[in-house]
Amino acid sequence: MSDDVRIRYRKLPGHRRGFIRGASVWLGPDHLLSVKSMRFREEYRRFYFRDVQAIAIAKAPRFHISTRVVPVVLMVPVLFGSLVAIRNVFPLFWPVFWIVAALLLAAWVMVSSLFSCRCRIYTAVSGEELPSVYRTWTARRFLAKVEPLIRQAQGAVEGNWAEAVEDRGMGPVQTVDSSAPPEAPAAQEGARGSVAAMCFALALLGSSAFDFATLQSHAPWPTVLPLYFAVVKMAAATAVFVQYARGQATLAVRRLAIAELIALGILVYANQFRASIAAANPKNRTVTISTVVLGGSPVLRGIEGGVDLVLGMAAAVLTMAASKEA
Amino acid sequence: MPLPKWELAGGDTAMCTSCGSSNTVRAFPAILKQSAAERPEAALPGDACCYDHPAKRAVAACRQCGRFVCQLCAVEFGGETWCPGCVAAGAGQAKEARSETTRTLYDSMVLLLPFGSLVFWPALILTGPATVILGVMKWKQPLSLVRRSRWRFVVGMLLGLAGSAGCVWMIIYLMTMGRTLAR
Repeated sequence: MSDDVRIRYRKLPGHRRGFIRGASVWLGPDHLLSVKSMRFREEYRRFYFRDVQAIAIAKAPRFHISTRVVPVVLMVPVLFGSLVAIRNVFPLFWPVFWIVAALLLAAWVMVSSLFSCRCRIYTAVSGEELPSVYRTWTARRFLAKVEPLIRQAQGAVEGNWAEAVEDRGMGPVQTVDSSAPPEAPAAQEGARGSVAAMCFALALLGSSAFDFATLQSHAPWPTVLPLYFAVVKMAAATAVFVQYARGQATLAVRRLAIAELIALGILVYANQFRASIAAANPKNRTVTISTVVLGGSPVLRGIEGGVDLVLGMAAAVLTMAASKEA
Repeated sequence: MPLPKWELAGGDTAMCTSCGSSNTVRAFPAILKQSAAERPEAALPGDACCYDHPAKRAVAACRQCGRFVCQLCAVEFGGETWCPGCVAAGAGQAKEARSETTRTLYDSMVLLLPFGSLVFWPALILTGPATVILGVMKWKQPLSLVRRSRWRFVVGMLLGLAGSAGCVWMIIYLMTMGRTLAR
């Protein structure tokens, strides 16, 4: 809409910053603008003040990790590297570190479970969740800003509104046209038997079997072959993305592919980090930083094998279930 | 999703009768109005009827195409009434009534491309120039509805240029080293 070019929106309390998805709500002259972003794309929903029927806030656990913590997480290796060197100067570093980490984790769990909520906004034709309003204190500030504007546009409800709407279906009207033919399933839901998904599952299970079979092996090849498995897994995940875009793979398998790529990346950096720490230890002069990006540590390979096993089995089960449905 | 049935538990709190959860609910007068979809508007003999719903009485004519529209079909915007067909097609002035629902964020693409290439840094030799070209090509594309600055374009293109220059420098350096070693 051309008018949107000229509208200057003001940000309302609450901003959900995810790694891929984000959300926020903005205030226009006569409406709220809900913005849901997916990395390179934004979706907009407008809720005009005159149309808003109700705003409902229900307490609910929301275990969301904001991207704001990413810089903190990135600082941890730097902190580790710096403080390992002065460990003798500050011998209580590790106990204090773990206590602080545990307290922060406990605080996050408590806030996520006890002080979180879901906020929905209802009009006659829609009932939308506002993902950016997910903490109770944010919801209070959001209501404090928005409620007066809606009341200004509509006035206030007199009496007991719950009784007044008792016998009426409110919110979006759900109409069912019996004469209409049954809706064809969406492409992404309908196309199930994905070859790429099965290849992805097999790649993960194969890699997992290899990891577990050679966990205690001291031969050089178990440190090299994981690299080839990593390439195969990345290729299979890419194929899943392509098939999903073509409507031939399910959303669940695509999520598994994303999870596998994230796990792979974390393990690569964890392995390098482990090697760096080991090399920095003055007592251990035999350790050198390996150029092998995967498979350096039995512990990490065990973790990788476990992750691959779980994700691979999940992918296999989903693919087979989807094939049966099809 | 329709509104659940609630019982007022006092003040701002409403109890969901389905799950028993306690919700904070702010209700507004629009909740008491009947929606246009529920309103019966049967056309009587002699009445003008809706183009898409012949059984319903027309309440206005589309400003673009002149078709009669009923209460359900009428799209009101800027004091004018339009039919859904003209709005969907963006025909003539009806496109003013069509709200933009999505936008592609080219500035974010330009910013993230060089950063993403750091995962496999040799790729910068390709993604660096690609970032600059993409930034120049998409410079005039509309930004996010709620974002007003093009700093992402600028930073992304500068990073792309720096990455490309770094790769070129490294290639020249390696070639020079190779010649020196050969001698």
